[in-house]
Amino acid sequence: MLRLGRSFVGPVFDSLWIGGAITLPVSAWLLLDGRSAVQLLGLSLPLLVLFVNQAHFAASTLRLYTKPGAVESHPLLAYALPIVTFAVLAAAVASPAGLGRQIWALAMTWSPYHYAAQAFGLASMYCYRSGLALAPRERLLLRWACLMPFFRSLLGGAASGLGLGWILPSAWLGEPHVAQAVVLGVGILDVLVFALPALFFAVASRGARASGGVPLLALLPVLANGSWFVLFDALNAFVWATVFHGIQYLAVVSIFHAREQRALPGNARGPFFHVAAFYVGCVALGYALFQCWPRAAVAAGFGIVESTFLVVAIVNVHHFIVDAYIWRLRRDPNYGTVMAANPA
Amino acid sequence: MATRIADRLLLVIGVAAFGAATALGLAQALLATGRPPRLLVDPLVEAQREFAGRDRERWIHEARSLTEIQPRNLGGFLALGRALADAERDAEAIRAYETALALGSVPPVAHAQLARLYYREGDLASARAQARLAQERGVSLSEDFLRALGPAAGRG
Repeated sequence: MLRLGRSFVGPVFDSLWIGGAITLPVSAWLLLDGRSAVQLLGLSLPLLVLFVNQAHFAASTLRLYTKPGAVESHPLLAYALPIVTFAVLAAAVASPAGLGRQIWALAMTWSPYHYAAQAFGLASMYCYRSGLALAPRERLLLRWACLMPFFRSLLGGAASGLGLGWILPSAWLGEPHVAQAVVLGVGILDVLVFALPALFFAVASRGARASGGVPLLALLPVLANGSWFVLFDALNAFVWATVFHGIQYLAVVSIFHAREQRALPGNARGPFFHVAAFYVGCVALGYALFQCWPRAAVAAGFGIVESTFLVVAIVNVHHFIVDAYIWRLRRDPNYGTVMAANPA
Repeated sequence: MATRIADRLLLVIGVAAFGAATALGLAQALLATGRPPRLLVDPLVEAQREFAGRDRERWIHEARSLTEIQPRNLGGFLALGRALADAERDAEAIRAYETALALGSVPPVAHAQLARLYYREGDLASARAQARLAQERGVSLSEDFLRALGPAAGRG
């Protein structure tokens, strides 16, 4: 028997925004419409990028410094990483053809891995929260299922100089038999992106009949992440994946932030205040990082193109590193937040 | 104790760097345009708006930066080719367009631009080939240019 699982806010909100189910009808509509993301979004693109994408990058930094105990638990992340990041950014802007190129390729290659990790994290959270303790073998299967879109983009991005194209020489990748193998690999991964989550669902549900099987809320983020990479071409996937991933991230980080702040002694504010204040902070920080910082590099004599692209790349990398620590579930207060009942 | 002092010191440096970069960026935009930085998605478009036709060397630098960071960005090489052609650095412009061609399918107008560059460099055979590709894909070339290329440039 199918079950949705235990939501954080409510079944509809969790399914659409955290699970990413909104992706499915929107993707269908986008594919039928046929226009590219840039054509469709037009002048609203910069606003969407600021309010969703850039705000979500800022959210991890803001969470690091507002999550109770996080700074004390991760002093290197909180104190040293920003300075290292700043120094690498300066070096990259000064050398766009050298370090800059590598940082850009690193960020773009890492990005689908980060999405996969988020899908795995969300799926694990919903399993825990719904009372399903995954066996190590099931956990491993879930991890591999989540990684399929990443492997697909490793192969699919080769032609753009990302993924395998970043590591392997383009002359070798251009060899007909290698190019054919890459196309075949992408085709196989297109199937595995959906087949492995289905296999995980079947295997883990069979092993957890007593608790009602795997919650659908755990499956949704995995399928949503896969669909971004399979249904759209590279450029549109890049835009839509970042938009949907950002929405998903902002939804879940807002819930965690509000719960943590409300649990602090002396708190007198409601959840909406905490969510609104956090989101305003994210937008302001996103604006400072992505709109002001490139201009600072221009003031220092660099071009707007290298400054903007490299700020984007370095903030991406910083975000990936911070996220790898602040969302841990095991032996972390996050686990308590995941398991907590919905506040009245 | 020493760790705590080091942490505090790093925090101060980090906050100062963040604040200085943000303030400098705001100041730069305010001085240049009279308002805070406007929302920027594609910096190449911004650079083109700011420099193309006004500061050719700066526009070339911006386009070249993109090709350095993203060496397989077809659009970057087309922009660089156009910027170099505007500055009459034809040999370099041809190299940029040829790189774009090697990376994938280019817009029809790029074939026309490349045809003109080959012609200016005296490579008539290549100019004719590109002119033919441009025409096949719906670009209309001036009669003067087609005459200059000779009869072989016409539609097959």
